[in-house]
Amino acid sequence: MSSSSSSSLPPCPKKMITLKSSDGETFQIEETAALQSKTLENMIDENCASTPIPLRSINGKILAKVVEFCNKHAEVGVDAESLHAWDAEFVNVEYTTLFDYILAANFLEIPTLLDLASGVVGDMIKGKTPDEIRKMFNINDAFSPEEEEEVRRANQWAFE
Amino acid sequence: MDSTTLVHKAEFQHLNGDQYVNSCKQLCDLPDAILLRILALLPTEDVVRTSVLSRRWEYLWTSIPSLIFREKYKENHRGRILFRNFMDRALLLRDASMKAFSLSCVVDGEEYFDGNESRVNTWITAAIRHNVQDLCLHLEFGHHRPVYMVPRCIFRCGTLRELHLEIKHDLKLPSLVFLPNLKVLILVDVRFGDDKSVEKLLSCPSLEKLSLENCKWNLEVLEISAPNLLHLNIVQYFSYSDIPNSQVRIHGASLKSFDYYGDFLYGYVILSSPSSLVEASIRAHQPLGQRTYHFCKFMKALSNVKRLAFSIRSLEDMDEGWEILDSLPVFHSLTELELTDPDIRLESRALLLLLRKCPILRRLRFSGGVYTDSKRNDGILDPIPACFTSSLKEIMINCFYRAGCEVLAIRNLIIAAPALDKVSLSNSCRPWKWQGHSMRHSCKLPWAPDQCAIPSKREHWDHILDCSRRP
Repeated sequence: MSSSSSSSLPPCPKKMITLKSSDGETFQIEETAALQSKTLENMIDENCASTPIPLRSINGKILAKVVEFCNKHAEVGVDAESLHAWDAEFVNVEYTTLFDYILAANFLEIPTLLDLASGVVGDMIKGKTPDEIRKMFNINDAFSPEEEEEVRRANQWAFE
Repeated sequence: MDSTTLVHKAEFQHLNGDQYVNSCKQLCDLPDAILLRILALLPTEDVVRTSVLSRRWEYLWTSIPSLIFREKYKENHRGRILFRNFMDRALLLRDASMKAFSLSCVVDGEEYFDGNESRVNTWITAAIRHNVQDLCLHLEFGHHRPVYMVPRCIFRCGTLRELHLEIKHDLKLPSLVFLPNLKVLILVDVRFGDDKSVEKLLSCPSLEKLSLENCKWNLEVLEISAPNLLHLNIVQYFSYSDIPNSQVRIHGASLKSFDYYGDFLYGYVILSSPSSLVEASIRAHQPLGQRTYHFCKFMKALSNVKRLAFSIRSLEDMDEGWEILDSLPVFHSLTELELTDPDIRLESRALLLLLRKCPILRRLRFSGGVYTDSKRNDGILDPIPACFTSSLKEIMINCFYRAGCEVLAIRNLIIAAPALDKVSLSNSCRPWKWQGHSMRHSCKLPWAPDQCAIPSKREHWDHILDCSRRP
């Protein structure tokens, strides 16, 4: 991963930072790729990135994927079309994993990943009936039938 | 501060603890801010329907950043009542400030009760009072055509960044127009009177993008002085003016692009610094008739552009079309030319005349296709324009269906242009940039919320002919 100092190109070694997941796994990521995260950018700016950065809210499985996403989006010379296809494949996962991506992207402030994953969840909700949404996402603190009828009546316009 | 402290701080701000990420299995485990972000991507009806999902969701919809309401076309009486009652509810329950408010509905005489302000205006005022940034109003008027006045508060709303008014009605502006942060202004079908207040609206200090589509004003000279204006779009056809030979003078030192589609009813004078205007697309709506003077003057003002989209058909159909084309300035800086007409004939004299005005052209696009009706292989473009022998590197052709007459046209183009590197072909058609109301789509309101960052798809070409290794 890290570039060797013996080769003449690139002139200076790539700066790497280390991230540590909630379950103790460590990941190396190039500083340029890490800058897509506002949270990491702030730490780099405040010189807090020289030691491994503990991310206690992100487990190793998810952090590996997030690092993969940042690396892909930092690659130069990838055309928009193939990146689009890569992104589509990246979020082609179980919705629970999708929520993990969303929370990680929200915490690390990576807007591209947050928009991508939120967009997929939005598409899942679009055009569905409340029952379908409840079933799909396992929502169980539902109203009683009478209460639901009341809420529905109050917002009747949206149900016509 | 060490990294651990910083991370803790960040965690606290975002999630109030770290248990979420590790145990997240439910949609409801996502914090409200994220749920709202997801809801912002959905049509308003879908958003409001989430109110019945569970207690957590009952009032979540009332905080979405953008409220977008469209009364369904020709709604029956019950539908109208439901829509209106729901509008009241949405605005009464609103607690947070609003990023965008978009309303499309019919204003009817019934809206007025005993001379009170219309309900529609109360909604608009409520949005303004919630510090709205993007306001989009598309109002139609019903049978009992009311005397309608847009709420004055719109025109002194300090938070407003984008204003889109589509109102087939006279717009009476207040004497005070103060929109210090307005960056985008789109006016469709609006009729202004003969007072100069319209100039204040069109000359807001921060304005970067201005679009006037079939608007009307009765002024001999309309002065637009927007020092920060970058993009100007004017669509004006089937229009008439009570004042003959009226003029639009645009003082826009930063103006970068100008798109025009219309009848050249007014004379346009562009007073920008000559190097700033780099992009233009121009299309006459119909044969120019007596307005060729306006057209020619207009084209002279564009002689420094680098990219030009142009339609030659309106000139081709006219008796004096050749003379007009001949009198066009030489476009010394033009490197990209797009011809927007459907099925251009390669033998067209208008085409040849125009190409001779573009000495350093690098890219040429026929966005509506090109063909030849000659069986010969050479001598179509005679004399060959200078750019063909020196600078032309790329030709792009849309609407290409592999017909013999199209293939032959390409062959002839390749023969005529020895410096050519590649020819790209696609059977998909590229719609004319400003036909219809495309500026609306390029803006964030209300069709494309800026949260949905879908990467733009690169243009697809069916074939790319590499001409660079010709013997």
